[in-house]
Amino acid sequence: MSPAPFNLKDKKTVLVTRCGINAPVLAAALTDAGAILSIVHPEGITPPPASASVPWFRDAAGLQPAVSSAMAGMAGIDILVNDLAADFAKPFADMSYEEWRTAIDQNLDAVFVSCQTASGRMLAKQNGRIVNIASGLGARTVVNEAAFSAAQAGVIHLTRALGLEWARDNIRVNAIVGGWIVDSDDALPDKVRRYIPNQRWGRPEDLAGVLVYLASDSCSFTTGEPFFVDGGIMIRT
Amino acid sequence: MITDPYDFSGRVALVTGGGSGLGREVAIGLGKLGASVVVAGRRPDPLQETVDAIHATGHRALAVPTDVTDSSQVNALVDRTASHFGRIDILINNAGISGADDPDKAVWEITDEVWHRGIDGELTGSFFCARAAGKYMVEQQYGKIVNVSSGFGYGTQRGQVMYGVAKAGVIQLTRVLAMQWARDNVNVNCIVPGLFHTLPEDMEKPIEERSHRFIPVGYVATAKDLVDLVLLLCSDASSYMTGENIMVDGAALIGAYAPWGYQPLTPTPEA
Repeated sequence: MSPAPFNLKDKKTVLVTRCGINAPVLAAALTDAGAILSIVHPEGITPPPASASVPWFRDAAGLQPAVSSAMAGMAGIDILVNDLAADFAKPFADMSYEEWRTAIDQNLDAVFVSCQTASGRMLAKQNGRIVNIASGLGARTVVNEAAFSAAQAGVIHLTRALGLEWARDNIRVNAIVGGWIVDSDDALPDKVRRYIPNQRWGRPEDLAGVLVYLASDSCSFTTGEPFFVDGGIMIRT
Repeated sequence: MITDPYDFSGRVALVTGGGSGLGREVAIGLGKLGASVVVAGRRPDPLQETVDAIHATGHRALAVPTDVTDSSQVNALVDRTASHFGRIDILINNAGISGADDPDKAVWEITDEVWHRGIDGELTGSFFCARAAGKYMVEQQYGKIVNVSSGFGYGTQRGQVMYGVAKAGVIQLTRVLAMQWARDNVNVNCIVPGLFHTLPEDMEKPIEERSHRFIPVGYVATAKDLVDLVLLLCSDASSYMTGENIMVDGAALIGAYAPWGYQPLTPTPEA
C-alpha cells in the first residue's frame, strides 16, 4: 500500500459537531489520518470515539467554554472542524422572529463562536487549519429554507472573510459544502435524480478525503475556498 | 478500512506539459503512488528527464513528445498511452502555451492568427486531450480529469485578452465535461492557480518582493502548493466532486476588493 501524500499525524484537532450523520465518519477520518481528536458535542448525546470529548450546553454562546476546555485538554490546537448545520424549514411568512434567531444562532453564530474561541491560540502560534462543513443550500436554495440557507451562505462567506483576515497568520480557513448527503444506500427517487449529475446520494464518506486534505499542511496556498462535494449539483442550470 | 484512495497501482495517467513545473511535479507524484505515467509536451529533453525521475522511483513512465494543439498528434498520444499501458485513468490537462497576448497592442490589432494561437494553446489543446481520453474513460466507466485554469479566467487585467478568455473557457469546459460524463464515473475538476513559480529560477524574480502587495498569504506559490490537491482530485477520495473549479491563489481574488493592508476600524455599534 502506498502512503497517502499527506496526513494529520499528532495534530491537535477539535471537532465541534451536533453529532449528526457526518460525525462518526469525520471523526474516524481525522483519527485514521493520525490526529489527536477532541470532540465537542451536545450535552446528552454520545459522541463518536475520540481521545477526549467535551459536552456543550445549549446555544452558540455555550460553545466558548466547551471549545476552550477541549483546547486546554490537549494544551493547544492545530485543526478546528465545525460540523454545526442544524436544518430548519418553514414558510418564511409563518416564521417567528424567535425561530429565525434560533436558526441563525445554531447555524451561523455557533461557527462564529467556535472560530473566535480557537483563533486566540492559532494567532499566537501563527498556525492553524479551520474547516467548516456547510450546506449547498448556502449557495443554491429550496422553498421553506430561507433561514437555514441564509445562515449557511453566511458560513460560506465567513469562511472567505476569515481566510483573508488570517492569510498572513498561516491560518487556512476553508469549507466543505455538501450536497445531498444522506446515511442511506437507497436508490435516488426519480424526482431527485435529474438534479444530481452523479446520479447517487452523497454519503458522509464522500466528505472524508477532502476533510483530511483541507486539515493538512498540504493545504497551504488555498484559503477562503468552499469545496463543493455535491455530485455536480452546482454545475446544473 | 476503506481501500487506500492514494494507492494508484494499476492506474495509468497522462500528464500534458509534463516536462517542467507543475506537470513534472504531478507526474512524479503520481508515479511515486504507483501509477504508470505518460508525460507529453513539445520538448523531448525535459520530458525524458521527468521519465528518468519516475523510473528512479521504480515506476513505469513513457515520454511522448506532442503538440497538444494538433488533434492528430493528441489522438496518437492517447492511443499510444492506452496501447502501451492498457488503459487511461487519469488526464492532467496542464499544457499551456502563453505569450500570444501583447499588452502594447490595441484589441483591433490582434490578428486572426494571434487570436487563434492564444485560444488554441490554452483551451483547444485541453479539449482535444479530454475528447480523446474521455472516450476510453467512458468505455471503461472510470476516469479522472484535472484541468488547469488560472485566476485570470475569473478576474482580468489590462492588456490581457486571449489568455483570460481561454482560461475562462477551461473553467466552463470543466463543468461541461463533468456534466456530460457524470453518469459514467468520470470526474472532471479544475484547479485555478493564482501566481506561482513555474520554474526554480523564477524564485529569483522581483515579483517575490512585490507579492505581499496583492497576495494576502504573502508569498508566491510553488508547484508543491498545488501537487497534493491535484492528487486528491485524481483519487477516489474526491469521487463525489465533479465540475468544481478550486481556487489556489493565496486568497488573491477574495482579497481583490482593496489593497492588502486596508483594515478599516469603526466604533462598536450601539446596542
